[in-house]
Amino acid sequence: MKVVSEDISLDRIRPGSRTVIQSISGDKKFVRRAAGRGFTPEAALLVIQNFGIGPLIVFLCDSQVALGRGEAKKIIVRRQHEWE
Amino acid sequence: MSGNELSRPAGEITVALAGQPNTGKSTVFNFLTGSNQHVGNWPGITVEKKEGRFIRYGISYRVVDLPGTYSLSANSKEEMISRDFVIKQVPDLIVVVVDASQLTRSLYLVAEMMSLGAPMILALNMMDVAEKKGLAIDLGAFEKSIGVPVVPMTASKRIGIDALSEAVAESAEVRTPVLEPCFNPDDEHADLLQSLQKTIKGYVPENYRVEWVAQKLLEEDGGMIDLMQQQMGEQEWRSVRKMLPDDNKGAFAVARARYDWIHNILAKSVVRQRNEVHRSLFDKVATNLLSGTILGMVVTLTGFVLAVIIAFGCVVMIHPLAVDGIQAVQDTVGQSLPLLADFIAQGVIPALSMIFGVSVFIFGIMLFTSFLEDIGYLPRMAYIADMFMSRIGLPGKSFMPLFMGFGCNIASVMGCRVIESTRQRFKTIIISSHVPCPGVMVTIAFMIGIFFGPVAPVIVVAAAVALLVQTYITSRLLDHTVLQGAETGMIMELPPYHMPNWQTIWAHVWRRFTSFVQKAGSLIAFIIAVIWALSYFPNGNMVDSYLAVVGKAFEPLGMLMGMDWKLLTCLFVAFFSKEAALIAIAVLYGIQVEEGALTGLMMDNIFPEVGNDAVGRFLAGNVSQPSALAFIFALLFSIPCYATVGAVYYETKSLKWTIGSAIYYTMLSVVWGIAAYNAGLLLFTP
Repeated sequence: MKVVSEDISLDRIRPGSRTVIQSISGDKKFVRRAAGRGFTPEAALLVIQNFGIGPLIVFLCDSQVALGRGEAKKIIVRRQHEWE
Repeated sequence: MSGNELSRPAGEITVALAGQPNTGKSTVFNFLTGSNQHVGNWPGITVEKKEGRFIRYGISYRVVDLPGTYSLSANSKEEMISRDFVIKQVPDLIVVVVDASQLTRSLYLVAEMMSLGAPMILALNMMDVAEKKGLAIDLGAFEKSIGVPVVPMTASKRIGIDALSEAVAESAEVRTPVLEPCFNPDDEHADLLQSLQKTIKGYVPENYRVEWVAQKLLEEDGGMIDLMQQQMGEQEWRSVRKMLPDDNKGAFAVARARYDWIHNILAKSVVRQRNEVHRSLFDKVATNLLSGTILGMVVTLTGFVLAVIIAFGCVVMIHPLAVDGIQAVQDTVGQSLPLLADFIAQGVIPALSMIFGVSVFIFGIMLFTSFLEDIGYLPRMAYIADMFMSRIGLPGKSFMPLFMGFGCNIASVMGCRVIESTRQRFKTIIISSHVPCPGVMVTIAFMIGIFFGPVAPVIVVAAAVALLVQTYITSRLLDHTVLQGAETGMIMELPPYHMPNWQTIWAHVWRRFTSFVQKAGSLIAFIIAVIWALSYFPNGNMVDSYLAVVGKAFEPLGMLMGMDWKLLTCLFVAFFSKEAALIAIAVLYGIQVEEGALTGLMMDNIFPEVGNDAVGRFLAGNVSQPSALAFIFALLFSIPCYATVGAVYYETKSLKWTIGSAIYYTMLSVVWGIAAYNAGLLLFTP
């Protein structure tokens, strides 16, 4: 079994997936706001809901957080594929 | 020490109550201080400041409720207030309320607060929810590893309130300064933090803790950079500036270190924990794209209709009373003091009965919104609404207040309180006046019916499109001017659902409502008096009153919109109430011959007469179609009624914003009026 990982933005992660943040970009204000809420590199999160449009719901630091789609685009996470 | 120390009454101990949103902080505050509360504003800032007192063992404790914030950065006014209060006002004790069911998140503020060094205790709230979630905490280990006294409580059931006040009394007496939490960033940043501390040591102002300032600098906190730059002078500051990373890495390192500290504590003290995320069926329905939208609509409409029905019922109930009151005034002082009698009968009573109905509606909407917020549904609705609202640059939470504007604009202005970010709230408050209230709709429908019979639907659609376009323009205009740099985008917590806590809801709504009535009430009363006087003097009727004189004076401006002084005066009257514009039309065009001031005529039920065909034909013969079109659009965008302006002032606490928005709307009204008139000339001139 081979594990292939790629870094993509959070808005492309399917609901039900657990994933780890790699980096966060954006203006200072957003980055600080996000960091204070637990969105930091290395933080693990679970995508609860993602319709492909509109905001997402993620679970991190014990709480459910609604995250705007534009904001999710600024968060890069690692996706892992498993190949048989 | 600061001067505030001296002004503190002898023997009084100041306790700052901090906590993140949704931790039950207001419930703790309410039960701790009882009815002994005072609401004001933070100096110079439009953020509500709640203060209360309680007495324990003969000593009075002043409890200052700090704004609910997630952290203490310079991201928002609320966060600046909290940290400035703790640093500059030097409270004897900080009580941080923490949600036991969401420890990781809510301990973040604790980690930051501890770095400030003030004596602190922890109110570990919502123990019942934590238990239900299957979480078990070893309180002894928790207290030991966190290093400050911990009081477990369930404030919603009044459990632990007494223990908290006891702990406050104890800790405030001892005043043990808090030790710096064990704060271990990665090696690279730990070294950086060390050298930062060394460099800034001699420059940190009194009351600030060097460790905290260094952390904030590493986070590149705007407020702290400004402060230290000032303290150190350009030359010295440059060496600090060089040390700071410019890639957000510092901010992440600091946040990471705080979370590591939290994880460490929890690893030692959480005995049992269920890890899966539990979502109820209701939650799935409420946040689903389709069902969530439908539910949101149904809930909003239900609240709206309920409030309308109750308000209408109250008005019907009180109407005979008002009529009797007017009769009684005329009978008693009508002969001896005619001026006073007229003022009461035509000014005070009609205005009061109108305000009464509106008040009931507003109160109902506030109660309903507060209820939805308390049980945790409002953020879910906002999550769904965000999909639509973000397209016009508004937060999801603006949907509910804006919708309530169809009932009364005051309800939307007051309802904006649910929007946490001050800038987003101001934006929604200003934009809410674009929502046409029933008064606007009735008046416009009447005008459209008379003047544009066959093409009425086209005008209605045009008006709706114009409103949407203008809302978008206003939103973008605010973004690029006065609200530049406002935080946009959503990072919104969806808190767990709770049973409604009626006591907290009622206390909150009642306090806000009465305070609004008291404060905005005096402004509203003043404006009523002015309007009455303008439409009464010098001859006791409106047609040749000062109001008409003003209308005549502005006629040149009116001509740009194709309006003579009569229509223009009607537009002025709309500031009093939008329905009143309709009555003014009837009076000024001589359809309704009754004498008296404007406010009095509103009581006389002349609507049916205004609505009859003869009136319509008469009016259609006297006003051209382009002028009518101009009137419709000018009214649509006109300045909201005086009571709404009062509410804007009450909610923004800013004369600048209140007057600024009034001027903005007046300008919009003229611009749309001119545009509509010219469009009308092209379309409707035979």
